[in-house]
Amino acid sequence: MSAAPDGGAGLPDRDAAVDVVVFRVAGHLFGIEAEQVRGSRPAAGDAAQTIEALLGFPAAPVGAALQLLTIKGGDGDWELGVAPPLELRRLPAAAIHPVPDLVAARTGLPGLRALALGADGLMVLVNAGDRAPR
Amino acid sequence: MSETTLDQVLTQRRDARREIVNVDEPTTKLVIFELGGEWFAFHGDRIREILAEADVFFVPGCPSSLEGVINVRGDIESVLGLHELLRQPAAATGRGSSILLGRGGGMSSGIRVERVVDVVDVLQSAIQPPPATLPDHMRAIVLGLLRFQDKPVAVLDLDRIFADYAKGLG
Repeated sequence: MSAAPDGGAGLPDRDAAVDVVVFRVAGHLFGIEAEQVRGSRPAAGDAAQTIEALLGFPAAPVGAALQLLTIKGGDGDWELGVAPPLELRRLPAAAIHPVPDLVAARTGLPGLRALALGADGLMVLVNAGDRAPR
Repeated sequence: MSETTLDQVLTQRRDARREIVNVDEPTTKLVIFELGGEWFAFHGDRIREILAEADVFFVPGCPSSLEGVINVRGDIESVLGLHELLRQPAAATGRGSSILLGRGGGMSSGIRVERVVDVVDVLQSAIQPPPATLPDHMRAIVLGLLRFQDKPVAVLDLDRIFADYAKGLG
C-alpha cells in the first residue's frame, strides 16, 4: 500500500499512492480503497447489498452480471454487489483531494470520502467500510 | 476691463474642487459581475482569482446549483451557481462566462458568473445600505447598493452566501 503522508508540509509524499478498486455506477467513476476490500468473486445470485442501493442510484437491471466485493466492516465482513468491470488502480496521492466544503455540506452521496482527478475524469472515492446493510 | 466677475471665478474654483476626489476617503475594491442581466458585486478581499475557462467535473449526488469541481493548479474547488439563490435565470456556462474563486465564512468555492464587468476601487460612502424594499430572498445576503456605470449593483455577502448554502439554503 501507500507511503505515509509527509506530516511536515501537510502535503502527501511525492511517491505516495493509494490502491483503489475502481468501477462505474450510472456512468460515474467510483472507487473504494482497496484496503477496505478483502476479496472479490462473481455473484451466483442477487446480492444482499448493491453499490446502487448503497449510493442511492436506481437499481441495476435484474439479472445483470455482478461481482461481489467482500468488504471489511467494523461489525464483520459483508458483501457488496458491483457491476463489472472492476479494476484495481494505484492512484498517486497528488491526484486525490479532500471533498470541497460546499460539496461535503450538500452532497446526497452516502460515504463520500474524497475526489480524484485523472486522465479519465473525476473519480468519486467512497467509504464502504462502515456502510454495511442494517 | 475684464468681463469676468469675481463671483464667476469663485464658482469655477468651487466646481473644480468638487470634482477632485478626496483621496483620504476610504475606498473598497469590488469585483462587479453580471448574472441574469443584473449586476452584483463581491468585496475584492473575498475573491482570490478570476478564471476565464475551466473544465467542470460533475459530482453525482450534488444539487443542481453545484455544477461540480474544477482543477485549479493541482487543487480542486467546487463551482457554485448563484442563480437559484438570487432567483435569476440559470447562468450560462459557455463562452464568456467566468468563475470567481471566492473565500468566505471559512469556506472556499468557485462561483459561476455570466460576465465580470469590472474590478474597481469605489468610495465606501458610495455604497448605500440596502433599502427596506429589498425582496426577502435578497435581504440577508445584500450588504449594500451602489450605482456603477448608471446601473444598480448589489454588493453581496459571500460569507453569508457560503454559510447559508452549506446549511441547505439556495
